[in-house]
Parts: sequence; C-alpha cells; structure tokens
Amino acid sequence: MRALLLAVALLALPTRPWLERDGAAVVLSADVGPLFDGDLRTRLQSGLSTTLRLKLELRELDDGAVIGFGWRVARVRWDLWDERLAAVIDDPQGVREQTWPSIDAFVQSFAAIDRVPVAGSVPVDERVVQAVLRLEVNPVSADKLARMRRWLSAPEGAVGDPFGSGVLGSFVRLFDNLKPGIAERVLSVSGQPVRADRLPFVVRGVRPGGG
Amino acid sequence: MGRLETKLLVLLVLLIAVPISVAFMRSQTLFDRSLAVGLNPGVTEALDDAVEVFGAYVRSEKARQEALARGIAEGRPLADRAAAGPDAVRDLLRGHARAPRVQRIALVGGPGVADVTVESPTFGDPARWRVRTLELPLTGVPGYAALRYTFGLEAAFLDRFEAMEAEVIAPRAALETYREELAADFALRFLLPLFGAVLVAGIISVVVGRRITLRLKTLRHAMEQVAAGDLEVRVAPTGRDEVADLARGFNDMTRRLRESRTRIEHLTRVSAFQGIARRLAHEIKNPLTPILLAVQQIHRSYKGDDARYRRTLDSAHEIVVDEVATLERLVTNFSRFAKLPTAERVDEDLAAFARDIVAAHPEIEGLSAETPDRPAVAAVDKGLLRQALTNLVKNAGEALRDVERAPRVTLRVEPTADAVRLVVEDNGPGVPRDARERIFEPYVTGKDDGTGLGLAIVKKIVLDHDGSIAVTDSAHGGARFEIVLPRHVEGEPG
Repeated sequence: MRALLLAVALLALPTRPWLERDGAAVVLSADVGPLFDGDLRTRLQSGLSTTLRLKLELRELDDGAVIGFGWRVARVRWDLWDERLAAVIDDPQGVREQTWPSIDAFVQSFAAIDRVPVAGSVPVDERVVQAVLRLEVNPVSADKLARMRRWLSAPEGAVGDPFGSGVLGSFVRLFDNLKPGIAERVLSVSGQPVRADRLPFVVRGVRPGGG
Repeated sequence: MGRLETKLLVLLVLLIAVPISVAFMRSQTLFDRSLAVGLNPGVTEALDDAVEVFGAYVRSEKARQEALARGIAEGRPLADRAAAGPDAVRDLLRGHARAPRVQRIALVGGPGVADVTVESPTFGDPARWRVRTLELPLTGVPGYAALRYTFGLEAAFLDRFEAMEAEVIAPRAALETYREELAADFALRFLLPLFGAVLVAGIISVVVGRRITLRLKTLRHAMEQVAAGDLEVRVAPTGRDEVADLARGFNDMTRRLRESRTRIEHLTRVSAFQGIARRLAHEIKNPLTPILLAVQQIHRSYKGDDARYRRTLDSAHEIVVDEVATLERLVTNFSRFAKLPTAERVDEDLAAFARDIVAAHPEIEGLSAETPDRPAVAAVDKGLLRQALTNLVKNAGEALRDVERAPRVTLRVEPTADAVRLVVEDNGPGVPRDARERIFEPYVTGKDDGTGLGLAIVKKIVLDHDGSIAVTDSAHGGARFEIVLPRHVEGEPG
C-alpha cells in the first residue's frame, strides 16, 4: 500500500505551477484541478455551456512583465440526458471535439498541465521569474464585446444577434482574445519565484517536481 | 472674439448641451435601472432555480424510468410469466410498454431462448424523442438473461432548455459580465455625439457670429463716417436677414440725409439770394423814378433849335426810358422772387390742375396734357404750383421758338403709391448734361434776356412742397423736367 501511494505521488503533477528548462525553452507543469471548486463543478454540471480559458503565464517578478505565455481553452456542456460532457478544446495543438463520461474525467484531463512550453527561450541570468495560472470562466470575447457594443449603439434590426447563435458556437478558433479581460469568475494560482539560471532541467521519466 | 460672438457661442452651446445633457442623464438612469431590473439578484436566483429545476426534472424522469425498469426486472410477475412461456411474457411486457415515454421493452433470451420484444403503441415518431436504453441483468427469470428497457424524453423539451440558455441565460450572463463596460460604452456613445454637437454648434456660432459682427462693424464704421459728415457712404446690404435690412435702412437714411442737406443748402442759398434780391430791388427801384423824371425834365425843358443837340437829346431820352423800363421789370422779378410766399398746401387733383394749365396757355404751340382718368391728389399750394408749372411750360415753349420741327410740349401727371409725378418735356434742344445742376441756382440762365430766377423759383416752390425736381433727357429728344410731390404733407397722417 505504501508503495502504491508513493507511486501515485511520483506520478501526480504538482498543484502549484512548476517551471523547468527543456533545452532553451521553459516548460510549465501543474495540476489546476483544485481550482475547480464546488461552484465551478456545479456550473459545469448544470447543463449550461461554459467557456474555460486557462492562461499560463511566465512573469518577471520585479515588474510583472509577461515574458512567456501558454494557453488552453475549452467550451464545455454537460448533456443532462446522455450524461456525458461534450467539449471543444482549443490549444496550441489545434481545435478538437471530445467527450467525457463525467465532470471529474474532464477536469482531470483539462487541469493537467504537463510540461507545456510557455517560452521559447529565456535568458539564463539572475532574473527572478514566476509562473502564474489564471483560469477564467466565461471570459469576455473581443468579438462578442464588439457585437454587444454595436447592438447597444445601433438601432433595432441594424445588427444581428449580439450574443451569437448556438450554445457551443461554431467550431472556429475559440481563443480570440489574449488580453486580460472580464470574466464571470477568475481563479488563479502562482508558483514559487525562482531565478532563471536556477530553473531545474527536465529529466525524462521523472514527473515534474517529483524529484 | 467679440462679445456678441462669445454670447452666441455660449448660447448655442448651452442650447445644445443642456437638453442633450438632461437627456443623457435621464437615459443613463434608465439604462442603469433597466440593467438593474434585468440583472437583479432575484432574477439571477430565479434563473439558477430554473436551470436547477430543469436538471432535477430530467434526472428524476430518468430515475423514475429506471425504477420502473427495475420493478419489471425484479418483480415476481416477470418470473411467473417467463415460466408460462413467451406469450405470457409478451402480454406482461405489453402492459408495461403502455406506460408514458416507454419506447420498447425487450427480454434478452438465454441460450436457446428467443428474445421477446414489445414496442409501445403510443410512443410515435422516434425523431421526436431523445432515448436511453437501460440493460438490467435478470436473476430468477427462467430462460432470460437481461431486460432492455428503452425510454425517452421529448426532444422539444430538451431543446427548450438549450433555447432558454441561448436566448435568456447566456445573454443575461454576458450582460452581467460586461455590465460596467457597457455602461461606460453607453455613456461614451452618448457623450461623443454630445461633444460633436457642441463642437459643431461652437463652430457654427463662431462662423455666424463673425459674419454678423463683421457686418455690424461695417455699419458702425459707416455711421462714424456719417457722423463725420460724409453722407456719400454706402453699405452693401448682403443677405436677406435683419442686418441686411439694417444696412438697407442705413443706406436709405443716408440718401434722405443727403437729399435733406441738399434741400437745406439750396433753400439757404435761395434765402440768401432772396435777401439780395430784396435789397437790390429796393436800392434799384428807388432812384429809377427820379432818374426817369430828371431825364424827361431835361428832354422837355430844351427849347433850343440846335437840331443836332435835339437828336442827341431824343436818343438819350429814349435809351434811358427803355433801360429804366428794363430795370423796373428786373426789379419786379427780384421783388417777386424775394417775396415768394410760404406754401399753404391743401389736397388738389393735379390731373385736373394740369389740364387747366394747358388750357390757360393756348399761345404755347404744341402744348398738351397727359393725365390719368382718375384723380391724382396731392397736398399743394395751387398758386405756387401754377407759377412753377407755368414757368416750366413757358420755358419749353421759348426753347422751341427757333426749332424747325413741329413743337411738342407735354405736361404729364403720373400718380404713384405715395407721390404724384409731374413731367414737363419737350422736343427742343434740351439742357446740356453739365448744366443740369446749375440751372436751378439763382441768377444762372441760358437765355439772353433771362434773369436766372425762373428755375430757382421753380425749385424753391418744389422744395417748399417737400418734393424734388430733376432734369434729364426727354424721350422726344429735348429736356425732361420731373417734379415728384408727396401725396401728403410730412408729419400729417396719410
């Protein structure tokens, strides 16, 4: 039993963002599952569609400047009748549709950040960097905001439906607004500040933070 | 920027900004309240409840159907009927398949046993339903391994939830999320046109104000010139507004002032000449009789027989008598000029008056009257006007004495809205252009035997009637004297 727990611990991702060097690149690992609190899980299970935008930021501690960036977006909807979660996932790998049999299964998949590149190269010097993960629930889409503005200012009938048609929308790229914006909820977690020249190197076969 | 321009600017900006600002504040309040009504926590709670109730209903319906399926699978009747054979099983399942929202119930046969499937007679078109199938293993049911229970929920019901989300919940959530942005955006979209309108109003007021003030400055400058004595100044009346009316009024005023000044100057001059004429008449007339008597005395008292001296004496007597007669005539004219009476004006029909004058002078060859059929009434001193018109027609007749063509002198009366025009024109030699102003001055004459007082008297009479006189070329080829007399005496009601 003790061996099993040890194995699970070695396989598990760190709950706080963990930075490593993979060659010249900086990669980030984390399990943001704990950010999915009861309210968020209730929301996901309500049958309403929800957009989740996960921003992975590498910041300089001094001035907060973002020097590296990664992202993952999902538009999800729990099917109350079929009892499965349908999602459109959008990340640097592309846009794809997936289903999960439960909310937990989806969260486990979506929240696992496993050595995701956030910067192509960061100078190896004494600067102190920090990983910040922001999970935005139903964030503002620049397009939707623009449509709402047009709707607000234009006379009736001059513009189309400001809120878009279709709950999941079309399967176009979802991530259309990289700027920090407004969202129904914003949940975040930060990693430990670390000097760039002291970032650990990736060791294949060993889980991030496991050593 | 002038004070008027500043006032116009402030006024226009206020006129634009105040109502729009009030409308803005009202609409902002309305906007905020509308949002507050739509986004109040009660509505949020109700919508959350609706979502929750919907989910609960779907879950409970599934649970109910599952309970029904379990009831069939685990119930004693199924085991009993299974033992009795497939028909008995079918009968039992048929009864259960009549339950609402059940599509199909099937028993999966064990080895060597055929499946028994019963379709619901009331389920209808499968496209109207979202269906689920439960497969429950059977224990204690001889010959059968499992129960397949297929049931559904109306697709329209589930679609309604999606529609509610798309039409109500998602827009509302978006509004709630963007609330502050939208409020700011709304304000901006209202304020931008406001600033635009204020800017346009400002530009318009500056442009319009500058145009008006420029024209007013021009008028003020012209007034200063008038005050300095320059009555020739004129202002171009551009546009059709009140400032243009003011400019036209100003020009009219300076024209009247010019005419008035000319009249006063002429009357002053004539008055001065009247004084001179009176004195000359007095000074000349007094010694004429003693001179004439003395000469006659000398002429009569010579009794000698010197024929040569007698001839000289007769000649001198004749010359003195003739010259004294000329001087007496001159003195008579001077006296008449000096004693011109003040005009006593009463309303007269000048058409009839003109006809009378023409009738009274048959000796003037070619004289005729052109008068309207209706009366042309004006306030005149008949005696003085008769003197003036007689003078003019006589002058015309005299001018035609040496003309070879048939003489033509016309006295025409032309009534207008507020004046009567009297025209005397002939086909004589006319008046040279450079002499037209001077001929009305006293002692200026073009005739060898003239005193130069006739036209001066005419002009004085006309001016005493508040009228005007001018000489131009006649359509007949000669001179055209035009007198314009107002219909009514100035200062009296018309």
